[in-house]
Amino acid sequence: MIGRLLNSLVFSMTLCLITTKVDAQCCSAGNPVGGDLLQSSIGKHSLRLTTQFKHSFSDQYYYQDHAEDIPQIKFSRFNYMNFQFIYGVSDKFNVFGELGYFFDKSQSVNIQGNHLFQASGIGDLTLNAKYVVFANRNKTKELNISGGVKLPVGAFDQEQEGVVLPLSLQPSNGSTKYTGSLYYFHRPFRSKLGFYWVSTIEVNSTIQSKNFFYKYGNVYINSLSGTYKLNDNISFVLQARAEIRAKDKREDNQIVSSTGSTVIFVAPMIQYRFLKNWETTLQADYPVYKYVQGSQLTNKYSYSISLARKISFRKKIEDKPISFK
Amino acid sequence: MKNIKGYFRLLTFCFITGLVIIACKKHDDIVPENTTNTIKIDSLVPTKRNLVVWEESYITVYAKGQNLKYKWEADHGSMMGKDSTTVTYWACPSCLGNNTIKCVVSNESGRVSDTVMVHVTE
Repeated sequence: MIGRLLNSLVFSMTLCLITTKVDAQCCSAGNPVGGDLLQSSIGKHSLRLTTQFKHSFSDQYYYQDHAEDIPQIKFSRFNYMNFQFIYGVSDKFNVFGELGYFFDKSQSVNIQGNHLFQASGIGDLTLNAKYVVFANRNKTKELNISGGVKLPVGAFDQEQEGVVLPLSLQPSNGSTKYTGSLYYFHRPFRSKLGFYWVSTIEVNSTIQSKNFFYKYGNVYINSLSGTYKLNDNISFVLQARAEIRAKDKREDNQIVSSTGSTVIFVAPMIQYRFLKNWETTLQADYPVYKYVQGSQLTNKYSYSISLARKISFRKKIEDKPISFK
Repeated sequence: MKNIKGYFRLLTFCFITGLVIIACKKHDDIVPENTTNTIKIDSLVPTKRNLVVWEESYITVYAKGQNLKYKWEADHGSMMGKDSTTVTYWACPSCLGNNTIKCVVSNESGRVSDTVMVHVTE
């Protein structure tokens, strides 16, 4: 059993290493969009592989809590695709990994005419572990904690027309990021309604590259999600999420102006299960409240679509249908 | 006992794999600069050294040498190439303070660099 477990991990890690190598040959690396869509744990000797596509678009400058017109910046966007795995080493202990690729990370400006800055490349590599503190027999209640790192793999100093692109357009975060989160799920037995709550903290280390000396502020995320299980195949989720970003710092510990924000998102999600162990998820993120320090470009919307497959390495007699929450 | 051994092996494997990934991280090129006498940067001249947010400054490099290539870097803020020897730097709200713009001029014989400081205020 351990052999099969190691084989699956070797396979996943090998994929990561192969992609890292491609990145190193090419030019660029990734950014922070992390975590599995479903924060719940997975059973012993089960593997869930997920691929996810995410699009994000921003075109509105805000000064504190109101919009302002900045004609110089037209929009900023990214198209990102990632691969994730989560493996149940035991019923209480899971390991998780994620690696993605930015097909397009760009910003359109109107400075001496229209100009598009564009980058692409591999995103940062997330590795973390999850421990189930408590789960009842029916899995209608679960409390878990997780922690991990996001490693700035791949190239970071991308350039265009002989000019190194600014930090915000580099596909990689450029520094190691440490994350920790707490998850609690509850759905009364045989009820169609449930909820889950997730609290996450992200701590960035300092970027010290050839061109940049910078430290992104910590990020604190709290979300509360209501779930409704329509039938065995379809579930709806409605999430309210607050993201608080602390101010960034630059050399000599200077606080960077116009950084730091509080944004509240509403995120509807629909999950569809099919062919026993497959699931697809469609999610949208829409900011309903924004408060930024100073003047900042803010997100208008984002959406993602994912496809997941669960594989069980247990003996066939133990096989159970997939039980996504 | 068997399980504990298994977990130990798994953690060891993950740890070693993590180390390999970190060790494989690509590092910046460490090509030494100012290595040649065949290139000379005479000056690096901005049209404005003090900018308020959203103002622009053109920065031009005057250099001597053959088959020269130019690479521009700013530690904070954005630039775009105007032509091979001039870039446009604009002052963004998050780059208040002193910002360093660096130009690296290179050809087949080596590379030479120079910097200029631009100050951004609200």
